[in-house]
Amino acid sequence: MEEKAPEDVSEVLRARTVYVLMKEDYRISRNIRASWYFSNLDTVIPFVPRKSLDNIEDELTVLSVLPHEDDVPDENQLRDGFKFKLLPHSNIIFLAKRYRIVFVLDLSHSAASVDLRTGEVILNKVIPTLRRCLTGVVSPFILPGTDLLYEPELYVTVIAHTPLLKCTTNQVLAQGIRVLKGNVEDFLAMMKQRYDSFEQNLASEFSKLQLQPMITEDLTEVSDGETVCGQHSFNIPMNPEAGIINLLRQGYFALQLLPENSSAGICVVTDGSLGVTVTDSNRFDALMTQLRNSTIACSFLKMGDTYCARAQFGHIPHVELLQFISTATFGAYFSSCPDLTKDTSQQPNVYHKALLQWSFQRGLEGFRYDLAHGLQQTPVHPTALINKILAHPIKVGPSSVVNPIIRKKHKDMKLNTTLNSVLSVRLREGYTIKDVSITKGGKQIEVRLVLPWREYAKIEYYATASWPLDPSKRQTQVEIMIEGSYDFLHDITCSTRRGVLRTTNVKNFWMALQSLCQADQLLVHLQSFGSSPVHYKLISSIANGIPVFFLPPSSYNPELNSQHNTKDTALNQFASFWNPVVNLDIKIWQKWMHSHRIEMVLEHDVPLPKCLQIPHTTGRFNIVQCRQAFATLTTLLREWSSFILIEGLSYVKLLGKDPEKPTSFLLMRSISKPPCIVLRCAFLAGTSGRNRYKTLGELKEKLRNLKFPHRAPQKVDSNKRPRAGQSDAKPAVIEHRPPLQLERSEKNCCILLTKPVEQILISYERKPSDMTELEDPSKYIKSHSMTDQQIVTKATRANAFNTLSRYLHHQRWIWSVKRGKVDISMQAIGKILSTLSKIRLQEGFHFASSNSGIVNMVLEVNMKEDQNEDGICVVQYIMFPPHVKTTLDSSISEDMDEMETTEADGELQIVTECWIEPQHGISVQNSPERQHWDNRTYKEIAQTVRFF
Amino acid sequence: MTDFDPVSILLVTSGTRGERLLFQYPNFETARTHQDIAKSKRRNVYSVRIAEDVVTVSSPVSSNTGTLSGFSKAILANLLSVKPALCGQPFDLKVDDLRFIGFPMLLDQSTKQQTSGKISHQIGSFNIVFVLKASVDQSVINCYFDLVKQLTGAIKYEESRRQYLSAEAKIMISIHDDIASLPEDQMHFPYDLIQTKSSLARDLRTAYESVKDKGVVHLYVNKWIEVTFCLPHKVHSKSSAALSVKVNPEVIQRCIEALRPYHGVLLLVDGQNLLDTLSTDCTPALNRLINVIIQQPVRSLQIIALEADLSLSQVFQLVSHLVYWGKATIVYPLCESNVYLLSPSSNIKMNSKIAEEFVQLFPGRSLAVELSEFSYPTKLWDTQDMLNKQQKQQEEKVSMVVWLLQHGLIHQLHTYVFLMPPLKSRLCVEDRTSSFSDVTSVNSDESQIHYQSPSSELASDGSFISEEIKGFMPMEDTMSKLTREEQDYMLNLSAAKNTDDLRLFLRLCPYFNGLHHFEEIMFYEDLTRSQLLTLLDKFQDVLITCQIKKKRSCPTMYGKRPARNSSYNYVQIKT
Repeated sequence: MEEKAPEDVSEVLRARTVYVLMKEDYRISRNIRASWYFSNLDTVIPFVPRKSLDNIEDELTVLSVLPHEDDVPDENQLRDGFKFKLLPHSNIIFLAKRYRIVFVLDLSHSAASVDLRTGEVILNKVIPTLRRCLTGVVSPFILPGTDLLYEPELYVTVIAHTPLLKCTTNQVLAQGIRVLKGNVEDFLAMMKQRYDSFEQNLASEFSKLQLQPMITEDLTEVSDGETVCGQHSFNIPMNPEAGIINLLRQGYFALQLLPENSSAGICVVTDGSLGVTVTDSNRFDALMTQLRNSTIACSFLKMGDTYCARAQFGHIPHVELLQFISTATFGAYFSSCPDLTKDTSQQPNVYHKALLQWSFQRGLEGFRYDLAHGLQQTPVHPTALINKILAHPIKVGPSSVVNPIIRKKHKDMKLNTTLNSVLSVRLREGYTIKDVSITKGGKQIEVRLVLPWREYAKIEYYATASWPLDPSKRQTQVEIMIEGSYDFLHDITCSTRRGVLRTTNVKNFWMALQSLCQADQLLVHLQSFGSSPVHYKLISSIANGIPVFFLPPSSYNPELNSQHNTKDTALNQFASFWNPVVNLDIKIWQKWMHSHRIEMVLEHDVPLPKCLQIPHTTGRFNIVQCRQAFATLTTLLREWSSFILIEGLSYVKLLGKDPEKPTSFLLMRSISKPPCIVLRCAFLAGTSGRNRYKTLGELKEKLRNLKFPHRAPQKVDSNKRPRAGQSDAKPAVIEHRPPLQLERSEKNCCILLTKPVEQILISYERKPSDMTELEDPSKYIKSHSMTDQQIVTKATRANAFNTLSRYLHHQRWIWSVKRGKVDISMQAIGKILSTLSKIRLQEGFHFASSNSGIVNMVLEVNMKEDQNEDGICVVQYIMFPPHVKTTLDSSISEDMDEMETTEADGELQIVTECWIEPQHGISVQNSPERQHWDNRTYKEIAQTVRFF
Repeated sequence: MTDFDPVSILLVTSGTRGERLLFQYPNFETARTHQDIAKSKRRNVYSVRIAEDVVTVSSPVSSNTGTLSGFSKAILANLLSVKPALCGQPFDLKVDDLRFIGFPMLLDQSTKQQTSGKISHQIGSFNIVFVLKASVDQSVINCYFDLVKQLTGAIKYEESRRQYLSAEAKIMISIHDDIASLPEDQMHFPYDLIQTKSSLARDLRTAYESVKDKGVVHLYVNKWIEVTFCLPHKVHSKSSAALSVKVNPEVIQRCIEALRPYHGVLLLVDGQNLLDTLSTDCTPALNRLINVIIQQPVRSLQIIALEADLSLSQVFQLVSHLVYWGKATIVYPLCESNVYLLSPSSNIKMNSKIAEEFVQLFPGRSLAVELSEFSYPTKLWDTQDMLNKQQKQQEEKVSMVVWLLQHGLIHQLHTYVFLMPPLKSRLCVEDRTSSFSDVTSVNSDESQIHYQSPSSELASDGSFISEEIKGFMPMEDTMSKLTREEQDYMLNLSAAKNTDDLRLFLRLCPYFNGLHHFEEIMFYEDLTRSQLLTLLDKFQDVLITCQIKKKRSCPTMYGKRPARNSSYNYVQIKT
């Protein structure tokens, strides 16, 4: 064996399928996966089988190689390793160590009907479908070609989604539970029980809504000449964004609260009766972009029958839409879910393939369970249907389908940048690699990318560069093609009379193409960073800390700072490079950059304003200020960064081994709504993961240790402010002291948050008029004369509040302070409220927002679950200003302004609220002031916060 | 009362205390007169002689009067509660002239355990039964199966969720018991009282009533599970003003299968009204589609798909769905060159209700006058109002035509083309054509048929032209299907001298078999109407055109595609 080894190893096998494992410390973007692929393409790689999945060092590690059918290696080779060659058509499957999946159960009312085929109510299938999928996906499997048992960490959130606005029941059945083969049955039993109780609530809310129309139906039995009868016209208040958008948004939202650095997926269990309403098509496009950019795979598990004409009225599953979304986001579509509980083979099953394994090919066809299993023959399958509809009456055979897909060249251009960077932008936009070929005798590489734009149209993108890839050769030839049905292409190229929707559709398509070219130009611009010193050479005034740009008041367009010598050509060249950078839209900047976010709340100024919680005589309130902390933070950023783009807003740090010749940069932008600050960071694409990880770690460390500057010693007794009880990771040198007893200079300026708190921050536009129920803020939208834009903003905010209020666990307490003749002054109540806020500060809470007397405080608590130690749960505590409950029926007086003055005969109340993430597990590692929180679940914590 | 209306709806349960007929609607007072018979039979309902029992009591059974007399409660209960083995599948029982359609369902015993202590009567299985006339068509029965399956499924689900059936059954049983305990003279029928007390009973009544009235059911069982159902036989006979049109799901299915992208869709109901009545959680795509149809009536499906930003197959599914539910019909997109004719089955009585309706919608017009314009096949642009160049009048005309189409008062004629070189050897072809025209009351344009005597010149030129033809490979195929004589004749036509014309003609030849109308040819070959007309004009010597109402299928002349169905099935909803 020993002696023949050299010969065997020299024999190179052609790889058919390669399994690659991604490192868990930070997210391995599609981009890194693609550059790994291209750097290894067509090269010979030694492969040594691993004995275990632990201690993986590299970002991407080859775990298993299945050779081409013709190259069968002998057993020794398989055991001891061999060399293989990655070919353009090799299938590379990426696996992660950690996944987060949000299951959204679509409980829209169409599911409360009977499946005509089986005679079973569709709601009855929800939990069984979830069961099949979960048990399938959690069972460990042996990686093909190895003995390695692969069992990733799987964090699961389950949401029961209903578009019914009236149903304010918490929709989260479980958040962030690590599901394993061992606990899956318990987990499902818990889900079943919570699901049932959710359904009871939903049904009772629904039945209340029906009472009205039942009466009207009896009255309208007059016109019998019509066929439109038997259906009641409901005016059920549904969420304005009812349908698939809201459902996916909720999934997207829930994903952000799960452990980061994991592969994300949304899995929708639905009857398919979903769609996009006319008004929502723009929002749908935006959502798709968002999902694609954040690499979230959407999968659909369909319940119930597929289409038939006699289906329940209006319940037509929109299978093509679901398939399109799943394909476009690298997800999977299951037309039915097979039961694999009997399967003990430990081979990868369909659920593993669909939800865990990622490959570039996925974006082409998607993963369809029906396709993989020959179910497409059924006449109701869209493909079969469309072939039948379009069958030519005369011609027969495959070419007989009229209205074939045709392809048209749109544009070609030459980009002065590397193939890798072009691909990285495209991949982030959701394009996928269709095929790769090496042509011209190994001198040139051609990559074909595809983006499914709609069910019926695709954008194809060819990129050609010389091979092997050389980072110094900045030349890529690209070509854009449009592929679609004849009708569609005709529609976009010819100007015919069209309806509104069609016009916007065509416009959107052109905009998509246009933004494609713009993205390319910006890419070339950004990637040229290292090519010329004028881009990074700091002239003296900039190096001295004068910002390059400034933001004129009431404008969003930064202008060149006039403090510099504006005649200087070096400055102008410098500014012309950085101008597009300043203007980058952070919503989409991850196309060109690796983006990260650092979230924090600032320590507030002392002393707190007097009229924070009780109104001035004018009826106005003060707000929490964080000027000192903000100033300290700005100083830090100024010192740490290389130069300032806009003071207080945008900073740049140049990166690279050689400080004289930086190869990359870090752009920081702070989005501030003090006390909440989000620092958005973006690295130039191509910066290695390790460097990014290191740089960010450094910045975070600095922020975490940022203290207030020393000042004259203050008196110890009054207004001592806390510091983050749990957020300091460093072992405390000094004895732990309660937050309220800390010196000002001992306090941290910034309290870093792990979870995207800014996104789940509850903010009230106004004090609710009726404290006994959760108000829908959208009901105030139409009340006053506003511009369309204002209405849209309000509606979005109201919608966000509605989503949030159904996600977070909510508890509200109302205490009656004054009833009848007893007189209590406003000051006394103010005292109570400020004491209350001190208790919270002592417990480690921090101010997060304040608006017209409504104060919101946040705290992150560590949660522990059997397997999972690093759960974090965000607790929000809201105090309302003194509330007067009037004896008037609140529904009569809609005008809020009058409410304030009717104090005389009302009942004075103190109202507080707790909003808490429904994170699974029990609270641990609490500070001494919060010791009584230990071992409590989130619901119990909500109870605990009640006490004075 | 039509044939497919239900006679009655029944609810039967079977459990620890035997079978019970809990609810029946409508109330048959006559049944009381047979109570004596029923009572005497009660003792031996379990005996093997049950079949005989039915026979003996069957004489008073009558469905003609719309009653369900002759069956006592006990017999019905016994008859309709089935053994567990038969549960979970369709139940179809025919007794004399009645048919019992149900879907017996076994209840989940595990859920019962918890409550076993409290409920005296435990239900093991239940059966909701529609009583129909025995003569009813199988397709109607299948539809009722759908409805009963939905109701049963919904009730079973609600039972497992909230013990709905148990609770409702308890109400019904207690009413039954109360009434039974009353003295004989005060005894009245329990079912009226049950309706006031039990929501399930009300739902069953609603189901019965709405099938009977409209053929459409929409209700929420226990205010939660939605049940929607449509009896196409009923819905479609209502939607057309035409009398005696037989529509069954197969016809609709065939019509749906014949859908092509060039078809248009015409709503049979008011669009806005339809939008308003859509179920709360109806797929948004349907909403979109209807909106597009309202804004741009009578466009082709292809255009609708683009307008609604939906894929074609989705549009097809939605349109088929609307057609099935009687909300829409398939037409050819409205254009001025369309030819319309008075529908032979339309109601043309002067003072009919429909005429009044028409006048209300179009004041100053008369239905009879408008219809008279279409006594002969008439092109839309040839009608009085269209010739009048006033836009307002024209618009009104279009909406009138739409209205007439919606009500099935007129229908469109399509032009079909036959290739018929006037040769002696063409006998078989002629045969088929004549049979074709017989069945379809053709308005064939006789003037188009010119019999030219075959001339002797063709032999000399023939070889030359056929060589040239070889240049166009696909056309050779077409030519080869013709006889030598036919080929020669055609090549010799003066029009054939123009190679472009000849090429187009040969390309279109396969369509000239009476199976494909103008619009279809235009769609598949991407031609304009004038192009096609010009060509037909040039080759009129060998072509016959006829205008008929569109047929679904017809034997092919060129043999390659087998005829699917040679009967000329006229579908009213189809035009």
